[in-house]
Amino acid sequence: MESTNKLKIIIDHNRCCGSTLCVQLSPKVFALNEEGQSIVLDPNADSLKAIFNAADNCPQTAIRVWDAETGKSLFPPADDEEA
Amino acid sequence: MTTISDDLMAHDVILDPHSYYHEIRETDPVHWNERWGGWVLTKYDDVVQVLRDSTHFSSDRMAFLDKELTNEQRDAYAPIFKVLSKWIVFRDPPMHTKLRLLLNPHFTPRAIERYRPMVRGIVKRLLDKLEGKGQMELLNDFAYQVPMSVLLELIGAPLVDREKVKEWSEQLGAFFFIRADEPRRREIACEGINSLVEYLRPIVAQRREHPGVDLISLLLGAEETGDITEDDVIATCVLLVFGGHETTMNLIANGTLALINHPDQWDLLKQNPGIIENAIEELLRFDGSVKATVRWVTEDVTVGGKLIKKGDRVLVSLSAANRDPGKFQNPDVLDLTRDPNPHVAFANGIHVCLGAALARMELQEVFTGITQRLPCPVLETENLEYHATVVNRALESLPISWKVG
Ligand code: HEM
Ligand code: SF4
Repeated sequence: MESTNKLKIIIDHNRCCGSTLCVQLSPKVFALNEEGQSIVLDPNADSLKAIFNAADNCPQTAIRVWDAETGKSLFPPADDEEA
Repeated sequence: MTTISDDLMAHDVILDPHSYYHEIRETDPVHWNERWGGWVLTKYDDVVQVLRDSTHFSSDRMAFLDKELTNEQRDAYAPIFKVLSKWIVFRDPPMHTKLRLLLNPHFTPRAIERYRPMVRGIVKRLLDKLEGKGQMELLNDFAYQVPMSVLLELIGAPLVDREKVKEWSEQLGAFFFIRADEPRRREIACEGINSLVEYLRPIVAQRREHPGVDLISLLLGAEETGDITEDDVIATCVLLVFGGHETTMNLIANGTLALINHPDQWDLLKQNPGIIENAIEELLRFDGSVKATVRWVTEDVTVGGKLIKKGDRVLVSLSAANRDPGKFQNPDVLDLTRDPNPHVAFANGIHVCLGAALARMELQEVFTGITQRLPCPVLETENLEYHATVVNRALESLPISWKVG
């Protein structure tokens, strides 16, 4: 399916523990490298919803998502941040 | 050349596993332990390699144990095997993947936030009661109540049953943690598991009648897909209680002890409560409550330059990896501001702790609570003792006192 997102996704390899959950949940976007950690194949290859779901299920909060054009942080959502 | 003692239960190894594992890591990082009958891994990179490779390294403990049993033993252990063989932690893909994808959404860092106010309240009420006393036995008076209350809330079981559930869960622990030659081991563990199953069955039945948004209702909903049965649901609840209670309680004790031994770090946290997230990661790294886990080799494979054969078993030492100077600078120094801190206290790979976010949140609330409310305590004993197990880093008791007023 074509998608119109323009996303930037960064995976923090000091956090990623190779759970494979993001790969299970959005296999077109995420894959494992030789060390068994997640890398981004194509940040726009899946729906925003699926990518958020993958990021949300990360046990290590290792996945961060931005709007590539505006630079706005999309995940984790801002309303989460504790005052 | 020094020879490495292979007695993992020796008193000095139980008291101070870190020195023992330093020695093995330096002399023979992929070590064949004749007495235990398997390999012992102590290097960070080797530990991570194995934990992230579920193809060569199986977690199917029950299948491998089963092969070693006589028919008579198999009958005797049947009630335990029936439940434990359904635990996600002992399953391999593809069943592991199905169960994990089903459970994981309930345990994400964001989903867990909803329990934070409850935990904060429990910690506050406990400290209101204890603060003026000036002393406590930390495990019984404080540490156990936090995780057990949250776990019962999570599965929607009555809080008043806390004491009973704790006792049964600890009885079940006999299966894993007591020496195999203890004659009552099987009996105690069977008693524990049967009590837990009988306790949970009516709760599950009630949830089947009146589904809610709780974890049990969600699991029952997945029955329709044919992937899981009521026995899976009950086994999962047993695992959550068993896996979430002692681990968290022991970390509260290990972390408190670490801070008592490093009063400067206690003060640092007291004065800078904003460092709590890093502080908890460091307490997990420094003296984690799960020292090791076990894997079974499915195909010949090389680890750290050594050939490991199909059928061998491997003790993956999380504590040793967390103190590996090849990965962590000054690994024996407690530094609550350490960042990054890629410790493996919750393991790595597909079985990485399902309850990690929950445990982190509980620990953040507990350590913020005690450091804000109490002055740095002192130890009220000269000989600390730990339970003699290969897996758990578990103090027998932790009596402490502090100045009141
Ligand atoms: C400080 C506290 C905790 C520590 C140190 C800890 C440690 C671990 C470790 C090392 C594993 C991996 C075992 C293996 O790979 O063989 C694990 C798995 C697991 N833990 Fe925890 N745990 C803690 C708290 C909890 C809590 C609170 C829960 C329950 C809500 C929990 C539930 C589980 C479950 C269900 C698994 C199996 C996950 C899977 O197989 O996919 N743990 N834990
Ligand atoms: S879900 Fe998170 S920890 Fe798991 S592989 Fe993806 S990035 Fe790594």
